[in-house]
Amino acid sequence: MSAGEDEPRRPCAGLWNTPMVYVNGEVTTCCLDQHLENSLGNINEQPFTAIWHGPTNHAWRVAHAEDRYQDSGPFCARCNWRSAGAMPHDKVLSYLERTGEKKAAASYRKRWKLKE
Amino acid sequence: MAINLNLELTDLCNIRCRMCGQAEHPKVHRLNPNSFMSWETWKHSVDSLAEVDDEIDLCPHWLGEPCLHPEFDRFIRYAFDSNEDNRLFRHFKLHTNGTLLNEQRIDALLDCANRKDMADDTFRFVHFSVDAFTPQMYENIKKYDLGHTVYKNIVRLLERRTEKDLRWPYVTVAFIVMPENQHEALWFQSYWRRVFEQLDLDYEEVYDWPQRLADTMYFRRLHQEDQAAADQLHREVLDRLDILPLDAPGAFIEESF
Ligand code: SF4
Ligand code: SF4
Repeated sequence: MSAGEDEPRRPCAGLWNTPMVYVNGEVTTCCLDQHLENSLGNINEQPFTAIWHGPTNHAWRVAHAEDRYQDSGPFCARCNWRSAGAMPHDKVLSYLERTGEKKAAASYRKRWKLKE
Repeated sequence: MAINLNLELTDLCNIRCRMCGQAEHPKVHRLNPNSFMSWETWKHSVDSLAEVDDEIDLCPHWLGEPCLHPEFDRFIRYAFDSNEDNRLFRHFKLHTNGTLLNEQRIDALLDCANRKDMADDTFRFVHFSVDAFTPQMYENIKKYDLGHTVYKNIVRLLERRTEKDLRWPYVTVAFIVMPENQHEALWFQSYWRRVFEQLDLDYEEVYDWPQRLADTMYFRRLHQEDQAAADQLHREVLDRLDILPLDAPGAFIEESF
C-alpha cells in the first residue's frame, strides 16, 4: 500500500532488495540513486555478496531500523522513501536478530510497539 | 524475500520519451565515458551470483535500452548458459522499448526462455514500453517515428512463440497514461485484445505490475510532481477501459521496481 504522507518513516526495502549495478560495475541501493551517491563498491573488485551484505550496507540498514536516516546512505537521507516501499516489520526484526543487532531489535520493537 | 538485481547494460537510449529522466540529456545522463557494460563486468556480476544465498530476480536494465548494447545477445546467452538448475538466478525479466528486436533476436530470446536445464518459469516476462497507439502519437511521446516497428516486433514475438508452441516469456505491453495519449488508451486496448484473441492467448488487463503469469496490457500511472492529477487521470482512463471503477475502494498497491 502507499504510505500516507503523515505516516512516520520506516526502513526502506531498497537496502535489502533492489541492488542496481551501474554500467561500470558500481553497486548502489536502488533505481532512484541514478548518480550513485549510495555507491557501495564495485563488482569488479569484490563479489556481489561482499558488497551487498557488507559492512556499509549493514550499517545503513541498522541506521534505518534505528530511525537514524541521516547516518545511512547519503541519498537515503533526503529521498522520497515512499517510492521504494517499507521493509515489513517481521523482516527487519529477523534481519537484526540474525545479524546479532540485539539492541537495535529491542529499540525497533519498542518504537513500533511490536511484540516479542 | 527475493533480491531484484538490475545489471545495467547501457545507460544510453535510442529514443527520447517525454516522461523519462533519461531523455533530459542529449546523450548520456551520467558522466561515465563508457556507456556500455564491459564483458568482464557482466561476467563478474553474473558469475558472482553463484555465492548468493538469496533468490535472485535478474533484470539486465536500469536507465537505458538494453538491446542497444552491441553484445546484448552474447551477454544474455552467457547468463542463461551459466544458469543450469537456476544456480545463479531464479527469474529473469527484460525491459525494452521494443525498437531493436529482429527475427534472430526473437528466436534467441525464445530459446533462452524455454530451456530445459532450468525451471521453466525462469524467464517470465518481456516488458515493452509502448505508450501510444498511432504512429503520430508514438513520435509525439518518444520523438522517433518507430511506432510501426515496435508494434510489428511485439506481434512478431507473440506469433513466433505461438508458431513454435512455446509458453515463455509472457509479454507485457505497457501504456503510461498521460494527458497527451489518454484518448488513445481505448484504441490500444482494442488493438491488443484483438492480437491476443487472434492468437488464442490467455491475457490480463491491469493497472499495476502483472501478478498473474499471462500476457498483459498494463495501463500504468504517470509519476510526476502533481501526483494527484496524474492519479485522477489514470482512474478516469481505467474507468473508461472498464478495468477499475472510478469509485473502487482501497488504495493502489505501490509499484515496486
Ligand atoms: S531510502 Fe531512498 S535512497 Fe535509500 S534505499 Fe530507499 S529508495 Fe533508495
Ligand atoms: S525507452 Fe525507456 S529509457 Fe528510453 S527514453 Fe523511453 S523510458 Fe527512457
